[in-house]
Amino acid sequence: MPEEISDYDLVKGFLNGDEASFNKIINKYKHKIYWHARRMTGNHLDADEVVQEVLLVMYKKLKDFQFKSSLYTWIYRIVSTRSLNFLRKRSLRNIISFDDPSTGLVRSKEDIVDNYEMAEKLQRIDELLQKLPAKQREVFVMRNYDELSYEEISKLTGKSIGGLKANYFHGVNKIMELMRDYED
Amino acid sequence: MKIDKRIILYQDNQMSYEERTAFEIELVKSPELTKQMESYQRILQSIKVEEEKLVDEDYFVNLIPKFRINLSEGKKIFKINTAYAITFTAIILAGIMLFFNPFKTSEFNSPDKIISTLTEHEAADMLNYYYDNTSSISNNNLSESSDSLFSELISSELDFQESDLKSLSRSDNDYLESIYAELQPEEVDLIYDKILKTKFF
Repeated sequence: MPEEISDYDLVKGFLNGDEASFNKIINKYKHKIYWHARRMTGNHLDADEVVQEVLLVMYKKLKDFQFKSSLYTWIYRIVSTRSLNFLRKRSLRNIISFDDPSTGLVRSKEDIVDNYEMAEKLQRIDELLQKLPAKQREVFVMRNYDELSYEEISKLTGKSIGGLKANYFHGVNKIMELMRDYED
Repeated sequence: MKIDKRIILYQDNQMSYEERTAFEIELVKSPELTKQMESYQRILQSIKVEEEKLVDEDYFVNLIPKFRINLSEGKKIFKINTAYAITFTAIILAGIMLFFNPFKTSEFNSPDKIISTLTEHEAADMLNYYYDNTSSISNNNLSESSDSLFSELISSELDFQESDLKSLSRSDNDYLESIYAELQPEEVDLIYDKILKTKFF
């Protein structure tokens, strides 16, 4: 089994002109990048758009990375910011085109999940999460899927721990309410 | 019904030892609290998906080639966008210069310019038209006050003396006809050209 190269070496390699090092960084974090974008945007095509944008930003900004945080934290921050930006743009697009805000979910018919049962479950979760306001969704996803502490989320988003807890509390209540509606 | 905040704190290990113990005692005693706790745990469980089972590796395998294509196209798009931006700006500037040119003189739309484009016949027709239409406005149609005001305005504008006005008022068509009869056709053309080229105001 080949020895795993450290993030430091991969970044240094890329900065020294080794494009393969950048590919290795992508391979290492692609699943985490995709699933965070997916949970934030609610469908595969939008998530894919965010992922491609994140990779471009990483490629352009990696030269400024100072190792003041872990590479994963740095990437995660980019994914989080780009996802929120994307959601803003999407809601603006929906306003301008008078589309239903849930239009994004229609796109989920194009998906990376082949298993019908799993795809259905994933779509239900996507729909559920999309009903949360973006800030509540962000903290809910970070807590429950990425298993980050409030302190870590605070460092990533620059928001106060109190504010994050409040957002999470409201998010959980909304999810419980929606789940009750589904069960009824 | 809202969830008890302590349930989230308990699940997140955010309680002190004392708080935790007190909460657990209450949890045993309160069926409602127990129900809420179970509901919260069930929901957290139900929203979890096993991502590894979902993943279509084809998508992730193609992620890097797709990114590399986007990267090279992104550079091309930037170049194309720059070219479009420059062209677009140039068109807008040309449009502004054409319609709102601050250096543009009024010559473009001046009567001289318009008249210079007319043939002799067209100019004569035009003069006849205006003569026919303006001659219908006689002094009789104007009220006395309007008439005097009009006269005052014209005399002040043309800087006429009272005596000039009197001599003008004495002149009639016969007098003008006699002057015209004495003129040679070349002189008439000359006067006509001069009138066309003169700016009266």
